[in-house]
Amino acid sequence: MSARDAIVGNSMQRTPIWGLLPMLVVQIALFVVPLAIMFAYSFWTSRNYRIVHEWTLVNYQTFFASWIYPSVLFRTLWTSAVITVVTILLAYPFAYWIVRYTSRWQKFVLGAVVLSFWTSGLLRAYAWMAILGHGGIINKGLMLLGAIDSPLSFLLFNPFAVVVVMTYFSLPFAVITLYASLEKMDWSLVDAASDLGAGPIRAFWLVTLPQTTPGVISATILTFVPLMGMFFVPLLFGNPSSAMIAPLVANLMQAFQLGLGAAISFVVALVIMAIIALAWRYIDLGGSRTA
Amino acid sequence: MTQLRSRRRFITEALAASAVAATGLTGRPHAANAAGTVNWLAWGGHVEPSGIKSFFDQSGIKVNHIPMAGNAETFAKLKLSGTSQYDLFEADGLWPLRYHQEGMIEPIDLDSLPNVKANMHEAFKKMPALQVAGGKMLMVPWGWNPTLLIYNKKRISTPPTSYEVLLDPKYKGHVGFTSQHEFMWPVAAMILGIENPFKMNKEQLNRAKDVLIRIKRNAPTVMKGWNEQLRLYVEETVWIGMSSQGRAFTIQSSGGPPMGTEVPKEGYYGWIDGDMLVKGAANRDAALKWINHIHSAEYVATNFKRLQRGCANRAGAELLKKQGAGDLVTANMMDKPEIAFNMRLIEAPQNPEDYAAAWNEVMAA
Repeated sequence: MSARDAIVGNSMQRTPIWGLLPMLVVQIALFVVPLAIMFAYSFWTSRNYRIVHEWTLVNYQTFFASWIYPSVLFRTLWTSAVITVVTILLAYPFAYWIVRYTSRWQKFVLGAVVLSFWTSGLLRAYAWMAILGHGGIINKGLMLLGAIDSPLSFLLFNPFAVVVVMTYFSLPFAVITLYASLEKMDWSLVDAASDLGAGPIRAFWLVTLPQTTPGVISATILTFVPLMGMFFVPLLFGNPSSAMIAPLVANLMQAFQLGLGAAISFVVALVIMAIIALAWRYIDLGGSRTA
Repeated sequence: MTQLRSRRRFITEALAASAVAATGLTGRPHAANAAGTVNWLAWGGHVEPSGIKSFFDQSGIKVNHIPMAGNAETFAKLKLSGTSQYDLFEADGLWPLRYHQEGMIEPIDLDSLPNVKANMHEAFKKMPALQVAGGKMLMVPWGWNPTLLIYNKKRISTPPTSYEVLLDPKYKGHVGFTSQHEFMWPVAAMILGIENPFKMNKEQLNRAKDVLIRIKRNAPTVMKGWNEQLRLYVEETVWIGMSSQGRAFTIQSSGGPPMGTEVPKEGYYGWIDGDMLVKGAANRDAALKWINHIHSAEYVATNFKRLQRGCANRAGAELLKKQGAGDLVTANMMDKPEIAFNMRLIEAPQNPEDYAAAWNEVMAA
């Protein structure tokens, strides 16, 4: 190996590290530093609107000793899981339809999916109020038609409304992710399975689904994680007895209970990170299997 | 070469144009920079864009409005980040005392502001609870509202007399419960006969929490802000709750059912809000000019016509009457300032940690 080759080789080895630097800076500034600050706060307490900078585990003890926070966290996990399943079940066939059957209209349909991002989430939530509310389109329409005498109470302020509206918010993330996965799939394998006698369901189960499993997992993460922190939908659409964890953390922060708020946020973050780590591991394994 | 030069020229001109735009030199009078800016942390309900514009046209001072949240949240925010980026901010009830204790505000001589001196009801200029030595006030009062019982007359034929009606199971699913805990604690405390809702000990707080949980179980949702309350009353999801006579009038005039208002036998709490001057404000003189401007009868009339509540400004209410909005003035008791002084005012809780924990238990239950 010549000296020039050695220099070129060395610089090629170094390049990826320098290339990573901007990303590292962004990650540290936007992820590690805030998390570290939150972590530090979680060991401090507040007394009469003053932060007491004494290291203590009292906030974590409060979290685990109280019936409220673990039970609300469990409720949040459960609700988020249900909505994630509903979202994926709706998003997968929709993304499949876009990839396989829209050809000329594909960009238009995808554009329609992302269109919802152009307006504020809160505004869209209020639009749902105008649909599901007692004076909303559904109730007024049914009353005008004489189908009902009084507004349907199950449309608003209950878990049904929360699931419907949160699924609506999650759907574009899942559809786009699944579309990317389905779009790059090798469809000749499905044709090969058909040639070998597999029916459409069998071909889907044995060929399409395994190939798109990493996409399904990515869509699941992208749906589940924001749901865990969803703030305004449970407040606006849920019943008063089905609080989720984010509004409780917000209450604490607003009341200057920064330590307890940070401790709860950190526990939630740890739960989410554990879920992502598990999913990440599965994506890797899936990747090596398909490779 | 020519092409390269013209491209360079284009880039140079574009950069120059961007710089000019960024410094705000286009379309704004030079006086703007000379006269300064007021950084006003305020509730959106107090802001009239037309008033900001007319003030700028007259004085060259730009008002930079920063939206404000609730009392406790704002106090927490200012404790954390400091007050130096603001010149003025707002508060309700006796919260100014808390800011004063912390040395965050400068008391104001209200008579030094010509519009305030001429236009404000005398009683609001001299509120003993908010006055300091020398007669200066901690806050320049603006609006006020009591928290009475309001109810849908179509659904509730017997006028309620006590807050206990909120616990009645026959109104399940139709009781108004708001996310503004500083208005909910007094209701629970008054039902229990506790003297000061903001100085409850742990045992009292625990009992008050149980009362609030029972009221919440009668509610369809936890209401967040006036617009949501208005909608729920208008579409008759909520039949009974706490608000003011003026708000009941607004519900009715917005197409809602006929509404009644009753003074509960337990008494009632309420709020008087207003602006406070940041101690050592960077733009102190401009801030005081702005306070003077918003207390002109025109600004007040525009603002209180849009968002109705009791009014500390006599001239503004009189102008509203002249403009033919007498019903609005009467409904909101703008001509009866003495009612504001019968209210007990909300304040900062003595032990915020216990209140925050108890409120979260209410919300989670």
